[in-house]
Amino acid sequence: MILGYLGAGALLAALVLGGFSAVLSFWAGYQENAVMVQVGRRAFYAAAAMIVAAGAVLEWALLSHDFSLAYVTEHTDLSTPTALVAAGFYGGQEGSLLYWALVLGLLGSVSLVASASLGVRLAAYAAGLMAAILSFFLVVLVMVASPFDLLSLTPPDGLGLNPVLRDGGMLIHPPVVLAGFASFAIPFCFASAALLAGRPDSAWIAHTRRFALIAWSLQTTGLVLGMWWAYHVLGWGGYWGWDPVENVALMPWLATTAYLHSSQVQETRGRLRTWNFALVIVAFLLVVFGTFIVRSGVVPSVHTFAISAIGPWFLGFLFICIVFSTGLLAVRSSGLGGQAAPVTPVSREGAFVLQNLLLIGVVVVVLWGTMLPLVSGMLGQQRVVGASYYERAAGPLFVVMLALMAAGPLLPWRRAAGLPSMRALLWPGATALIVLVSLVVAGVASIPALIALPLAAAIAATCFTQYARLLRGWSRLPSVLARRRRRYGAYLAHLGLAVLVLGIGASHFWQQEKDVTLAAGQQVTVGGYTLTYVGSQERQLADHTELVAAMRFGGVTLEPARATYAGLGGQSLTHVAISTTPLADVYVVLAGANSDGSAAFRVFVNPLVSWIWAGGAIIIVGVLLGNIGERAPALAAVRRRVPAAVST
Amino acid sequence: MIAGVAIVLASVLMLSLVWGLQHAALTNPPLLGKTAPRLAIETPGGQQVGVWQLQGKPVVLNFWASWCAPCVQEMGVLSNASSARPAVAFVGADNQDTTGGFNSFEQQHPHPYPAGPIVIGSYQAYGVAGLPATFFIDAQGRVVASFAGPLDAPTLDHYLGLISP
Repeated sequence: MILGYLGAGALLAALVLGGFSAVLSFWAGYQENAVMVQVGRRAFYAAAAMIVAAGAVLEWALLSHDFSLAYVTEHTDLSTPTALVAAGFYGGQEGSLLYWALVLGLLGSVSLVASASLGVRLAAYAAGLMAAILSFFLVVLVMVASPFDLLSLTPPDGLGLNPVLRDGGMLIHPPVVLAGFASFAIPFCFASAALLAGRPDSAWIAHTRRFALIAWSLQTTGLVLGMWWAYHVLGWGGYWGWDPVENVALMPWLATTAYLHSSQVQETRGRLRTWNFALVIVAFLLVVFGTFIVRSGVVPSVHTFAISAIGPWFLGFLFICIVFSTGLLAVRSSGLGGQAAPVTPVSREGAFVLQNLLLIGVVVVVLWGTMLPLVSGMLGQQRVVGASYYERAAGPLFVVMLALMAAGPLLPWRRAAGLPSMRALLWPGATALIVLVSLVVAGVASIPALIALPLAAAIAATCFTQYARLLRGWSRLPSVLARRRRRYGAYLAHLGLAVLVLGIGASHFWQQEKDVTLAAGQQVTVGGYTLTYVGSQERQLADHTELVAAMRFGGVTLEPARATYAGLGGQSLTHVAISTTPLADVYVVLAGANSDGSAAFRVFVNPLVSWIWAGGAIIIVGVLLGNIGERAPALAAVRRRVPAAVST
Repeated sequence: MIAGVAIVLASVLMLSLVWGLQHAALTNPPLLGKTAPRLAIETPGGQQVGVWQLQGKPVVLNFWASWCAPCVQEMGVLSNASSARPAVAFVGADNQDTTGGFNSFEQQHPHPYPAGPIVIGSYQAYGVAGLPATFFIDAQGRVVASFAGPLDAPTLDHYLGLISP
């Protein structure tokens, strides 16, 4: 019980400090009072420290099974394994909001420590905005959704975590994706502060880009982990269902992907200033929109949190954010200078502009699909769209983007001068052609497959030609790598995306599935893979009973199972068994067992799914190698290249 | 011009979110005794079957999925009851499914009543939290009873008695 008071007290203290930091930072920034700006920043650090304290108290309460706290009772029980009890921190609405505030407090503090060089006013406004956003979360945590609410009676045991969440994936996917969501606020704060302070030159880009990159990397990891988890846990053989919650996590990622590319146009050529501000702002608005969608229960989804009263709060917050940021952009955009000459269509920057438009096109498609149940519901008849809508509407945009990824990196800045760039396209073009011919010879007739897979191969070829060029001049290799590390990291990320696209394409176009009922000793063959059903047995585990079937597949035994949680009203859950070979996953779901000893299975053969996870890992490695430890070189470079167009 | 379009789009966004909030499951009172929310499915043949269009007949609305083992178990019970009681309309609303999974299920487990993915309305309007879930709607379109989990024949008979004496 004492933990409840301690935690609530820490949150209240954080709210007071956060509010103080917001007000003081804005005032001090306006007055350009450097000392008070420093005080405002320190108040933010102190608020972050209080949130850390509240988080520690919640974790302590969870691990010590303090069931006097409603949150602990609702999300854990004595039979839940310890690691999952600890993960209960972000397993429910209130705790995940606290986790969000924690990430914002910590990453925000790091970003503010490094912000002093941006100028007193800009740094102050950034701190003020960040503190204001943090304070909003703290208001919700203190007033509407506190994880420290106490029960009048302390129950002997809790209700336990939802069985679907009792999985190793719970330890990695939610914290990463929630951290990704929270971290989009930081680029937004710096971009808005630059506009507010009338410093819309390119200095903010360099600072913001690093935090946008952190948010993007977290979100990339979170999305891939989410796909991996869904694939391993849900048992429908797929990894992406265009669920509203997947969509809202994808949209800020798309907008930030666009920003990470278009910011290079501003760094190198001083263009697209208003556009870059807009992208950072849109990414954050999409995060707030997504948070509202996930946490208010307005759109049906497998991810929906237990419904609570925070919906109206987040809707109000979204409204304020939209009005503030679009108003700010509208007022300041005239001073951003649209005087630069138009972008040459066939050039690196031309490719970036087209890629940006395509990415935003996909955002619009996904947003429309997500919003349709609400817009149509408001007009009288609720409609929903399925995967085929997204594939048909966004597929062509993705295809053009893939082509652009193959060709874009080979185009020079400013102007592609005819022949040389044609020669550069030789290798990717030839690779695409070879893959295309091989696919046709192999009897592939699916047009989307014949377009997507050769393009993915062409992207890989483009990256390899760039690395080959680097290796040819090996004597200069260290200096080139040091100077152009970001670029070669980006090629690696592109290569990872090509691998990921090959995995998605192959598993999407050539997935095979079969439903069978087998008696012990009988075999089934799917896609050339033969499995033998051995028999099934029942096992008693700590928090559930399991019906486990054994399937021989080559030298391994696969054990698909059905788990039944007696403590949770007999909820049952499927445990998928997967055997990964380099070319395909054999994926077995136990549908049920009969009294005569036979069992029903659904067997999938999913080609190249492991390439998706490998591709995701390569992307992250590429981003890390390209950026970690870089000491803001871009900032100095930007100041050198692009004279600041200060307009106050 | 751009500002005007932005304001209109933002207003539509906010209005529909407000609408959504008012109609979220949170504010949806229990359905029992209320008119069944509008919901339609599309069969593999492309025919749209709306629950509200079946008025005059009692309706058994079953939410299921091809990957959901208990749903597959109860499918036989529902099929038998549907054949035995032509005066009751049975509708299978497929949820969170793949097209491949749905089609292969339909081939392997043929049943006499229409089933398919939801094209109008949503399972959330019915407050469905887990599969299978079955709603019993009387001839006047009111939800009389609901059942969560797989039905066996005696349970189904009991509920059918409530909507078709």
